[in-house]
Amino acid sequence: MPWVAAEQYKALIGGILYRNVPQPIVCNGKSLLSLTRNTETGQLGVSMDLFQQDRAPIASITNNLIILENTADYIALEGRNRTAVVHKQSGRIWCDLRLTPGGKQYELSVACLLFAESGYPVLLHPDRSKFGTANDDKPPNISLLTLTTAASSRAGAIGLQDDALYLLGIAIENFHIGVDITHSKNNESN
Amino acid sequence: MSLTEQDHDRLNRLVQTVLETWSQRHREPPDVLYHYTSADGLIGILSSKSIWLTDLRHMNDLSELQYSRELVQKRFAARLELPGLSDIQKKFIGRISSSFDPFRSRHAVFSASFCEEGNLLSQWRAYRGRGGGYALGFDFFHLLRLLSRPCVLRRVLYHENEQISVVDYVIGEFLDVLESEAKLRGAEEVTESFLPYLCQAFSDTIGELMFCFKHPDFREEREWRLVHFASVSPTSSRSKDLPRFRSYDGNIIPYVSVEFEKAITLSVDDTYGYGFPLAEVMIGPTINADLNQESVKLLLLSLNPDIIPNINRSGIPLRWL
Repeated sequence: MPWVAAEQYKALIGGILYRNVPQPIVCNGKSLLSLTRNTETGQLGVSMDLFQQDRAPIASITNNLIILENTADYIALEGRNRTAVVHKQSGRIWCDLRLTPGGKQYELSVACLLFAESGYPVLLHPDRSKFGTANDDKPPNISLLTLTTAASSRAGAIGLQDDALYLLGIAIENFHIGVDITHSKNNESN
Repeated sequence: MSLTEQDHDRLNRLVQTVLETWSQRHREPPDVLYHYTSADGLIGILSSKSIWLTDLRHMNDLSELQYSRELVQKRFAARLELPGLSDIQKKFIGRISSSFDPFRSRHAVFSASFCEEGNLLSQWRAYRGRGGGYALGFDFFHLLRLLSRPCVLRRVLYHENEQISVVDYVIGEFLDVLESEAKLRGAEEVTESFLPYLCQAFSDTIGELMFCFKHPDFREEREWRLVHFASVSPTSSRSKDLPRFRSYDGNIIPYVSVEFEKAITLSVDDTYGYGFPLAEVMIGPTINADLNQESVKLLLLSLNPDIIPNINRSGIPLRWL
């Protein structure tokens, strides 16, 4: 079992710097992505499932390894320490993973579009995070702020209840949960 | 005599094989590549959302191409010394070595230079007297597909052994094809109908490789080149892809403009998932670093307000005296 849950890490997820946050993004009690560490190589890994908005599976990612499930519509692009899942027809980047071994600021960068089981969209853009909304030409709700607490805290940094939020240039550290979303399926506005 | 369809296919296959092998050496460029420029250059690039690629035959330092030409000539000479060459293979080397001239190619290689490192003393020194320089760090992983012209990234090779290995491989592939054609059709027919085209194909192919060779002394640069290939002879090609011109030190320099506006536009729109293509701007040693940092930040935010510009300053204690 070389991969174990990562508790001490630095990862840029949707342009937000998460440091030592065991559950970066949770919706209705369920983590949308999980971070692991390889005990042999020290590499940080991310695992998550990618779906279209209609819940049709696109790909599953386990410890940075991408398995494309819809090869007809999506393609995986490989680079140096980098992988992306791209929609062939539109060119839309559904997921962009980048390892930065030895990186001072962060070890791993993750950008993707996720949908919780309730359909709540979480846009983890390479430069910004938008929860419950996308393509909205408004300034960020919170920007240029570091949210920190004591190490190994059980607290959540940001709680969202059927709401939308745009974060830019934020760092979240030591919280148990980064963004904790509660979303009711019948709330179609988000 | 014109080239038969069969010979045309044969040459195409040969060139394809060689270029595909060559491309393997340039796979997986680094995440970020830095283009060093002056303040004027930075403003021009960011305002126009474009990079100018210069015809390599007109670049500042012609010694680079001369270095490559000499290397190729030496490899021809070395090959001629090897035993076992047939007469037609010797004829090929003789012809190509006397006529080969990368400065007279029908095809131009337009290029802009990038470094793997964004904070090189040697590069900052070049901007002494111009108030200091800037290194624009581009993330080409997705950007390359969004440029206004088809471009590739090519790694510059500095190690002579690697350069020799490339040239020897290309010469060897061409000699092998020539020999097999001569065995199939007879040396006389091949000399008359195939050899001239093979020589031309060799010149075009090696011309695409040579601009990636540099003297080993420059290896600190760890240079990559953003490259666009184009025909530059309106008499032989009615391509609309003709260059523009600028002047430099009294010389008239052909260049092409490669726009990255689409990448900027898509990075503003949430729905496409494209990050801002400028991953970092490094401010070189300069007197007014604070003010310049603020100006660069404003300039980047004018392109995309939904980013946190990543602007850093060189810590190199270089002073303009």
